[in-house]
Amino acid sequence: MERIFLKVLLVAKDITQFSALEVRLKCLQEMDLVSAATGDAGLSQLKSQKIDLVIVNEQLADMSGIAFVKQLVRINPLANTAIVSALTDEEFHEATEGLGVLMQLPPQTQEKDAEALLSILEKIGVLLQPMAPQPQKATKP
Amino acid sequence: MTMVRVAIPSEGNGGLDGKRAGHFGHCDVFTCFDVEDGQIKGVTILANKEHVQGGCMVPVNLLAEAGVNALVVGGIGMRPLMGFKQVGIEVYHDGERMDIRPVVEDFVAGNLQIITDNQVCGGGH
Repeated sequence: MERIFLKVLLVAKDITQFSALEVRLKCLQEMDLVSAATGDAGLSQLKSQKIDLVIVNEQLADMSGIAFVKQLVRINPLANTAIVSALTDEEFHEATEGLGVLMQLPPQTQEKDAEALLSILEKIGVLLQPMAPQPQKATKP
Repeated sequence: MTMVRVAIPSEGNGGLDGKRAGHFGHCDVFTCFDVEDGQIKGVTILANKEHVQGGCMVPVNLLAEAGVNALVVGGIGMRPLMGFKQVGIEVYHDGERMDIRPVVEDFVAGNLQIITDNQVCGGGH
């Protein structure tokens, strides 16, 4: 199993819809999974703890998934997000531009979606590692 | 007076005579200039990292590690803007000019404004 620490927040009225994702994510040795049934409850959790990944349903009882992420980025911009959405790629890009969403998830999430998510997270994790010192070109002002 | 390090997303090799990049996350390099007592004390070029969808925090981390205090952009999304605020980097806006030098000169002269939330890209704005 991978040695990755990941704290994941699932936001949905019924988180069993994410069970395929959950099964795959739980293969990580160090994974902490929490959930929230509403957008407000999810935002409260983001205010009080460090969350690495937030997976949110397309529609919550109190707001849409995209509206949730719009509020999330103001509270905890470091949290990575994936949103369930039936929008086309173009519509999704337009609706989420600037929000830095990692991935659009299909309404019926599968294990392969978790694989894709983990792959992106790994890539970002690698990219977030401090770079080896690189020569900087000095120029005259 | 305290020195301020300012970054400008740039195309190609950057530099004071170079061109700005329209999207900060996709820029080739950051032209960084150090300002103290109203004078430019030095210019360095910082290579950007690969841009990944959703990887908005990569350049935030890169510039924070490079000791950057301020960033001048033509456009930026809400998430990276909030990320820069969180790490203490002030984000200024100039949405008009492509040339780096006049923007640097205006920054030094105190003529640039901090970006406002309604100037961010997308996200329904």
